[in-house]
Amino acid sequence: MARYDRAITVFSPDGHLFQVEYALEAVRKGNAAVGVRGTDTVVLGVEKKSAAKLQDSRSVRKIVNLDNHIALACAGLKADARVLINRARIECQSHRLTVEDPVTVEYITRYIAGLQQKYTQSGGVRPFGLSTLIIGFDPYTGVPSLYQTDPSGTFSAWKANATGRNSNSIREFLEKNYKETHGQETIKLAIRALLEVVESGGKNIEVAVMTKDQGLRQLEEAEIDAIVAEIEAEKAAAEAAKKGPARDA
Amino acid sequence: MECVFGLVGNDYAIVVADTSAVHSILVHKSNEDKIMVLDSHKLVAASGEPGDRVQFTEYIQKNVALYQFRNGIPLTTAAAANFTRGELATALRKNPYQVNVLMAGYDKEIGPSLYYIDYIATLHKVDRGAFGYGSYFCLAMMDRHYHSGMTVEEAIDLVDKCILEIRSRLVVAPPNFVIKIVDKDGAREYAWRESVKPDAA
Repeated sequence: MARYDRAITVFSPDGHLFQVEYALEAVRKGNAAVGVRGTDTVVLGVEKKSAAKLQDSRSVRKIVNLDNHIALACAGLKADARVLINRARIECQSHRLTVEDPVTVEYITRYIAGLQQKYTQSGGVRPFGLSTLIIGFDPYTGVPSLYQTDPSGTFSAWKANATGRNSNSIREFLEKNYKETHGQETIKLAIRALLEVVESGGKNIEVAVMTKDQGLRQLEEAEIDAIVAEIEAEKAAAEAAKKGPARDA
Repeated sequence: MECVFGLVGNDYAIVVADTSAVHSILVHKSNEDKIMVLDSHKLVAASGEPGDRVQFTEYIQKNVALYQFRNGIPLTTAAAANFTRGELATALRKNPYQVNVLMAGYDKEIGPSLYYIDYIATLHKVDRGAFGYGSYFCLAMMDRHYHSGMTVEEAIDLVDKCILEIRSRLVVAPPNFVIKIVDKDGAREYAWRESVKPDAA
């Protein structure tokens, strides 16, 4: 097996591309990221590792704009992310220049995934070590979308998904609790999902909300804290309701 | 025969352009908007070879947008003007763009500004500027009547004086003009001055 994982362009006898799978490992070690699609809102949430005291946290933005109507969050190698994000931003403007239309979410996802795939089939390069969650609104129909790409270059659309650390637990939670939501409910669902694996508190999560009319809005720490408090209160009330009637009987 | 001119007030900048698209002796249309909104607080009034004009200004516009996404803040007017000049200069000795540009912008800390950029990549920051045959008349009018700290109404009055001069003294004067303004509230269309009703398109 050791002989088949050195170069990316070599298949192993049982059909594996080990470098791609190792890249997926790198993603699994990255910080948790979650995306939830509502009827009129799409939300991205990312785990923030505790900031070093001397670091200016404003310079570490994990959820970025690709265009006015498209945003991206990722899990994995952040330096690789910078390269992909830069290429995607250029492609968004290039598309506007050549066809006088903003990109659709699917187009830019396909572009990013295509880029990730190219690096699994070239000599002397390694794959990008990140999976992305891409959200946005169709520029003409206004329909919201959420897409995910991974180091192998596959992509697909999701109602809600997670990637990075403990993404399986988050996905399980979302599968159990997902329902069509809009506005504040969508934000709450995304934060509740992230809180399954992240220590609660506004300083440990970064949340951004995209709506058709207002584009991407990063939530302030205070806002996140308020929603987290709401969620905790709801959880406590649900716990109390469970215990209460049993006691009386 | 294209006329483009502009001036700066105390907290706004105005640019005016004629709106005829001409090929030899034929007027294709008389409602061609030659002033592009580059971003929320910048205007680019361009004159010259029609294909180059659209190609070049759209290229600048998309690069300015890209800068904003990459860096999280918009370019200042001075930076955008210098970038534009740089692109003209780079293309000059290979494949020149035959486009003259007046770039007007408003920056929060700096206020309004106007940049004169001609097709061989001259760059000047000016109070008032003009391109084309109309410039002979506009510059004279503006030199006579312009003073710093004009109100918007006074400036529009001066613009109308310039348009009157062009219409009465230039042999093939364009019939219609568009006026756009940029101030702290952004870049927007201010008015049209039409002496020939354009095609109902």
